[in-house]
Amino acid sequence: MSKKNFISLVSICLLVLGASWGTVEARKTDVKTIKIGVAGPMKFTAGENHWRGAIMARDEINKAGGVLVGGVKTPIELVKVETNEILSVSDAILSIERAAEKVHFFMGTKRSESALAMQDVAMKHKKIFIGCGAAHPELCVRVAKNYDKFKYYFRVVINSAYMGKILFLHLGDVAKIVREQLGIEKPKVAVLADKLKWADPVVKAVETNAPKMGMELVGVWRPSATASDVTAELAAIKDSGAHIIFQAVSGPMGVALGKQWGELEIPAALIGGNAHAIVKTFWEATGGHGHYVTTQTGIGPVKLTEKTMPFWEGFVKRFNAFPGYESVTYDAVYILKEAIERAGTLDSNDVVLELEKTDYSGAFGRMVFYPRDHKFAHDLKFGPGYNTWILVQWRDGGKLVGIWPYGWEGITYEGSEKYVLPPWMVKYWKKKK
Amino acid sequence: MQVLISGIMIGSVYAVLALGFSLIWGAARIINLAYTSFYMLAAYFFYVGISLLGLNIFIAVPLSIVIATLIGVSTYKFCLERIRAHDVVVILISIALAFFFEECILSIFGHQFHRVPPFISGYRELFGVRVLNQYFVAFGFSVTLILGLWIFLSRSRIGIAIRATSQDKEIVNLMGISEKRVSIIAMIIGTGFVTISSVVVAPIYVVEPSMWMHPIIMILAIVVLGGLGSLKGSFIAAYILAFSEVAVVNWLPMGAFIKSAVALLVMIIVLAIRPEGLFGVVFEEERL
Amino acid sequence: MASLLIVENLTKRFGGLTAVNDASFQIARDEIVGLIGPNGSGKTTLIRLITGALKPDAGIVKFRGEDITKKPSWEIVKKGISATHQVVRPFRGLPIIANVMIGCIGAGKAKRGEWVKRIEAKAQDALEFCGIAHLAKELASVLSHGDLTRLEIARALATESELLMLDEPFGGLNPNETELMAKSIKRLHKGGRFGRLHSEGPAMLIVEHKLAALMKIVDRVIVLNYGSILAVGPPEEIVRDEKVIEAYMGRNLQ
Repeated sequence: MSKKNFISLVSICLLVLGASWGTVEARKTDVKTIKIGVAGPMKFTAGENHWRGAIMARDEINKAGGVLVGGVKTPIELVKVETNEILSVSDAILSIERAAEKVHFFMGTKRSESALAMQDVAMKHKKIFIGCGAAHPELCVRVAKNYDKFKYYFRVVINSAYMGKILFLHLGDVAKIVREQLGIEKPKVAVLADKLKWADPVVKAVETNAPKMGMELVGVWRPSATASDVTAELAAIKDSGAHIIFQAVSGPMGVALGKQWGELEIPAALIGGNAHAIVKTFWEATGGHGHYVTTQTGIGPVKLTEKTMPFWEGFVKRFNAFPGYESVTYDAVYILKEAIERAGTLDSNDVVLELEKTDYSGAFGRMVFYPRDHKFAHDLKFGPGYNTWILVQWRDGGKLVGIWPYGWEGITYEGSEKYVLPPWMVKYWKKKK
Repeated sequence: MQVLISGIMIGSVYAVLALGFSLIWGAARIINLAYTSFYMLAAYFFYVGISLLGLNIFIAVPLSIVIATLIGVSTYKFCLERIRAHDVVVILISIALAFFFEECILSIFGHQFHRVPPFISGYRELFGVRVLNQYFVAFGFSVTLILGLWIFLSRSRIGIAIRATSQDKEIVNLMGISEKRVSIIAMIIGTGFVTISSVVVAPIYVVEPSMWMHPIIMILAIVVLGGLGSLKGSFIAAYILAFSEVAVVNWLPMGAFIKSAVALLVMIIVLAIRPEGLFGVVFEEERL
Repeated sequence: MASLLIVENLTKRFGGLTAVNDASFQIARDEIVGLIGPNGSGKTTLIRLITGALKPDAGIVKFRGEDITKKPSWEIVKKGISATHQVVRPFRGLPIIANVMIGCIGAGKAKRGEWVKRIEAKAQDALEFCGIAHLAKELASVLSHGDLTRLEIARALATESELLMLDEPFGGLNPNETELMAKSIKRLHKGGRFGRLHSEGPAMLIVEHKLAALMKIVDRVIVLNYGSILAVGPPEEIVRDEKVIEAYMGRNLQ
């Protein structure tokens, strides 16, 4: 590289740094607002969801005057904290560290690896941090084990242990449908999980549970999370004679999977969790071949509470996108607002005590935290009557419908429908008989 | 059977990608890690043309190939050509370029997934194996490109000049051929290969900003396995890796995650036995 | 008639060493000129300066009245100057015929749209001329040293140039082969048709150590010593020149 090029490169770097520093300074000067740092990978769907959910809550609250702190109505100010966490954890730590000086509270984060690191930083600064994405149990196990240090952490997403439990309940339902509708006594299950750490326990759980549930496991396929071609895997799965494909997919591979599965009309029900299947563009991205795919999420077009449908519709109208579970920041802002108002101060220790008393009926369902002596302290309480999350299925025409819970513990949310097997699958197996 | 069919289909796509890369390495002596960025760009242009501008597929496809190739060649002309004597710098700059293009796409389109329509939709059963029609299209294009390249290199003046250039730049200059011009031509062909295969496989895959990463890794593995600069080697190595990938998926389902790893392992084993790759030439002493 | 090649005050230094020092000479269209001198006297450097592979520190090279000093080497070839090299460097991975075809293609003698078949035929004729046509389909890497020299000449021949510079064409050849090669060179210089090749009969500049063979075919000899031109003249004068004899330290020039 010539000297000239080098100098211009350095000056560009300096300019960029200078510009970002400038905006930081500008933010610092205005006081009189409650500053909430919304942290996430802002260029990705997860971060976008965090941000969109938060600004919807902010706009509603500020329109009504703001948060009442010690008799003064104080507006909320959101600070976007770009964590870049999809690419590297170190970026995330740095941005949280930098933002910690400027904000009163944190919420957000998607990846568990970076959430753990960010949790450390936030706790060091004694900042309340409401987790809205990462679902690893460890985040709240830490609170239980070292309450004094980690008490500033709360989570409004059920942890992955419960998510897995739901998926198995549904697997049982689908196996029952396969038995009844296709007359297959022992349905065969193939597991298709992406090669990421979080999916390991899921795979293990299917391996041990499927036989107990009267199913036969025919194989586990684990392509890379970023694979763009899974036709070879799908062909192999078809060869294996599977009736059900249990997916545990968080990477972009999920889109290719939905698309190629539908286009090849693989005769096996595609169920389980697929992070990319809760994005509105999933339908467009799969060219309509994603129909009958199911996935798990925190919110859908079903009536979890009175607030669900207004939020869902408002969100779709404003952003032309479906709210993903990460937009639970919407409820998080309200929960925080109420705790602050009850505490009458922004002091972290006081607000923590009030947050622990939360019983909030939000757009994403009922929000209650496990008490500090529970093994998942400060985690979102899961169960009938509390938060259950839901499963959704894509139907022809790009419609998303809730399909679970459907009668589980007597719960069927208004707007839910029964799960249906892909018609080509029914045809294939009927013909085979 | 399934291994055979999938292997041939996937191998052909890999072969086209790797041949283009080898061609560029041979003539221009650069390891261009931004190579598959143009694969991504072409797919995005295709998407823009067909979904946003509503162009006819017969206009959108050639247009996206041409534009992406032009960007690729100008990138070479204005960024890489002057620094190409410094291998390490080329690698660094080209990887920086690749991320730059990804960032550009991210800031314009965001991290959304898009899709482009297949030329022919649906699937067909071939000996009991379901294959997407688009895969047949991709296969047809790949075979045409590979045959075309072979004829071009052996039967045309420029083709022979490209082969000579990849052997000895200095002498080529002394024989009255502008090695720079030949490099540009090789660059156009190589980039053309990657953009053409992009538009034919994009309908099978998903269009997204990081779609360039997997192919460049496979290309590097293929090229190293086949022997850097050997077109025949790249061609054969492409099929070896494709077959080993498909074989793992079929016969070792529990280990499908190591699909790429196994392919890379095959590469490492071969390299341990033959460090110059299957068909590589032992590096001759560096001359002036 | 103006000289084909005019070299004026050409100087090239490598660090402290002056490889070519203020050399000036001319070559006419119909000449064969020998370039001799002890080892390290700058003969090869001089040729590389003319072909543009090296750029001089001072002086100019004119070809057909045009200053070509600063032109890139591939352009110089297109203008009609070609050279063979002392250390032969073929494209080892290509068939011999393709090696020669490069010459045709490079020199721009192959017209746009001309069939590769025709170029191939020309290349075949050039090989024939040099006596290695039977090896056409082999890879260049199989050739013996003598055959490599022949290939090198076939390659230069295929460029159908006006000025051909041969760097040690007799290198590695036995006396018989040397004689044959000398005859070939002479025949080439006379020009005419060799199959589909038209040779205008290029002017030649030949660097050679085998002086006996060289003296028989050249019209004029240029003697270089320590980069400077020591003497210029017809062969019979040069062999008697005191300074030249001294430069060769008493070696018998006959």
